[in-house]
Amino acid sequence: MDPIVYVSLGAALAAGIAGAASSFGVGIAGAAAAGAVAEDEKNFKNALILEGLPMTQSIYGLITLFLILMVSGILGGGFKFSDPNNMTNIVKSAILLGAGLTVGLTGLSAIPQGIIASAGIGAVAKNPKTFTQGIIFAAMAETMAIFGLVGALIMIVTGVGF
Amino acid sequence: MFKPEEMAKIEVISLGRYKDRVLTYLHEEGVVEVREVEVKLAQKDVPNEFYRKAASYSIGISRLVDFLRAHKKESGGGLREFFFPPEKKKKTYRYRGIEQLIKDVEAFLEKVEPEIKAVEGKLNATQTEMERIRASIAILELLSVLNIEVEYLKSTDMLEIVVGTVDKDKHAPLLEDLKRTVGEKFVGISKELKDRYLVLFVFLRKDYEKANPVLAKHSLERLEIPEGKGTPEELAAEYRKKLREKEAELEKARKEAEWLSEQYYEDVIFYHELMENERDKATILSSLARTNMTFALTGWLPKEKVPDVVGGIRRITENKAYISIRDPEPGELDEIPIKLKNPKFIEPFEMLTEMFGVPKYNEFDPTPIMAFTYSFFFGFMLTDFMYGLIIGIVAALLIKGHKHLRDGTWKFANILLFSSFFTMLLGILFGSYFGNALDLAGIHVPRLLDTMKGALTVLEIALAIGLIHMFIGYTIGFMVKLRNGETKEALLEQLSWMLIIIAVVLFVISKDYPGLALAAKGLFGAGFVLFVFSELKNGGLAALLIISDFFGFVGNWLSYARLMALALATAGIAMVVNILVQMVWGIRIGAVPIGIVLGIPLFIGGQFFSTAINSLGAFVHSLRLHYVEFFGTFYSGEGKRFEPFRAKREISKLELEFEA
Repeated sequence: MDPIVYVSLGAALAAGIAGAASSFGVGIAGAAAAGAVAEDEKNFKNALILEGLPMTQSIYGLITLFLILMVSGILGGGFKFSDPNNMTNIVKSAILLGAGLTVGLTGLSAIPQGIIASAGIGAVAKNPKTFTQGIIFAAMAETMAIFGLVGALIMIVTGVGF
Repeated sequence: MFKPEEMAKIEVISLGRYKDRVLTYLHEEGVVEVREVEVKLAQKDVPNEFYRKAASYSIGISRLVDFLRAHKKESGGGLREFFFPPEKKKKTYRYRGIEQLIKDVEAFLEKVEPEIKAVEGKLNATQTEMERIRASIAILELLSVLNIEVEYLKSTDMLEIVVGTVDKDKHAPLLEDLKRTVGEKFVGISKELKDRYLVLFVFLRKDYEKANPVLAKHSLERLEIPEGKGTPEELAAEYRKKLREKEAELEKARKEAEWLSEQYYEDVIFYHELMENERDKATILSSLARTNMTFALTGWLPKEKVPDVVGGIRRITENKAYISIRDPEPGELDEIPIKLKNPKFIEPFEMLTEMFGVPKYNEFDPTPIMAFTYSFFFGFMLTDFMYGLIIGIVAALLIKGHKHLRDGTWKFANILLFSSFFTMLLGILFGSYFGNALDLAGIHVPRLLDTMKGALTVLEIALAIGLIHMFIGYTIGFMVKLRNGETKEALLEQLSWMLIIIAVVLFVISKDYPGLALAAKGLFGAGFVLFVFSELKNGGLAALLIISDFFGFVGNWLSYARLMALALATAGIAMVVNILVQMVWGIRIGAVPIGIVLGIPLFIGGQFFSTAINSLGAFVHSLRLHYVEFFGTFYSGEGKRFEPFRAKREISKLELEFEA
């Protein structure tokens, strides 16, 4: 495959999978938030913050997309690895695909995070004091996405470099 | 600092006639947590008639409060109120005992309640009436297709007239059924509406009994014919006029309610607070013991308040009280309520500790350490001078505005202010001002390290911070356990990990100083052996737990990598915003620099979004690193929080007559 295919797949999968997962997560939490607000409008602020938590995975995806585009030169300058006969180009662009895939797949944690957040919204509607605890519970699921981002960053920085 | 406030146990026995005074005094002071008196001989106290009245008035007044609040003219609100909530004025009540208070409340209610109830009744009646008129208008609108004068639709002595609607698919069967039951001796008119049929039947009175079940069977929905004369249209116009009159009446009643609200709202919430506090006072009675002449109460209070409280009780009981004060006994460790005690400037961080759970009486209060590490982690994850500045300004405004309340927002803002300081400091070190905005603008910014380019170094720093943080935790745990005589646990559960952490550090250093490698291996071995011993108590499961707990430790350590990931996420989002702005910046249509017009709002909006989302992340993950990773090394958080018997005084103030 041409290096450009690897690179663009990497960028697309990072932002694409993570973004799709985030929207599922926000969707699940959002449905709960609508219910909580119907019960009492005062729940709006707390529910909104909890609903926003599964959004971070898409941000990690977006950051990875930009990093991949930057290190490969697509953003600013020209594509650095365009020669398909140079083995280094293939290796580097494959690493970028791997990095993107790592962030994309670990970004799937946005879906369970949405489920936790939606339960948290339900709990906050009953007892507003559980707000911070609800956030912490939801943040647990994000750990995997953070590990994914860390892994991807190591891959990008050591494997390709700026 | 580092240890919870010292507590003392108090026991009071006094004459029954001073009970209300003593309770009121303690309630207003709010420094004693009352506990149940465990005396088998004496009986428990129960609320008397006045306390029961207070409870019932409290509920009654809360209804008045709801009504008046609903009709209160809105004032303020919005962002200004959020930052600068107005200070509530406190009204003073001269307290002469609960009997007098109940009398005063009754006098107040006697005057106010009928007035409020009258207006409330008028509002409700008018609204019900309007509903009825609206329903009539709706029916008349339906009937207008018939164009028969309404008075003719009323049943007479000879005839029974039924008007109603029926489902489309039931219309034909209904007619057939009717023909079968009553024959031809009825008249039916049908008009097709949108999705139903409007039907009008005229039966002879003697046939009606037979027809009625048929109508019910086909679920005919009857329409009640409104009173009045003329065609439906004429009558509807008349009803609309009536409706307008009622609307005016309603408006008038609303005005009256608003006036009442203006007049009495302050008083009503004032008396409500008084009654709520009496009700609260009554809940404690069941913890008291009593005899015919005396009562006894017991509880905990901070040691430094002892002289005040003892003096106070002696004064108000005219020295007719037995008071015993003593230090807690070792057997009571699980019972002593915990009040955290820290210097003023780190007090707000107690909120974070309390959210997890307070320490036990002989344990360590981690608040002072958390005050530093929490803000530092927050700053590390945000790492941007400008973001720190924005958060700092918002926090400072909130602190100023909420100064008189000292509420949750105030504490939270204090925490944010500390955190913003570290955010700005680290922002300068990393040379980050709205991310790389200045670099893109061509201004060279000095920096020690670039978050993006030096990502691996940042990761190393993050992991080093993690090791230090966990080492502090294990050391604290070690010392606390040694002090409390739990030497074995201290050695096995804390020292083991301390040795392992030192070994890891030595191992890293040994790259430059090879001589240290052996020491590292030795320490690691010693630590690991201790750790294995600590697991042996689990018997058969030990082998499994050794593996899972060891990797649990590694996982906890690696979890600190989020410091780097979130720092990078901040830089990343800021960079994305900056690049987008840079892209549109140069766009021009003719001589119009449309790019700048688009770019500035994009930049401001994007950076504010970035500040919000990243500080949320920093807040959450910094807290998590403490609750999960840090507290996991030594902290139980199983203490009981100090919950003093305290009156809630937001808008009222008591002046105790017996004190004067």
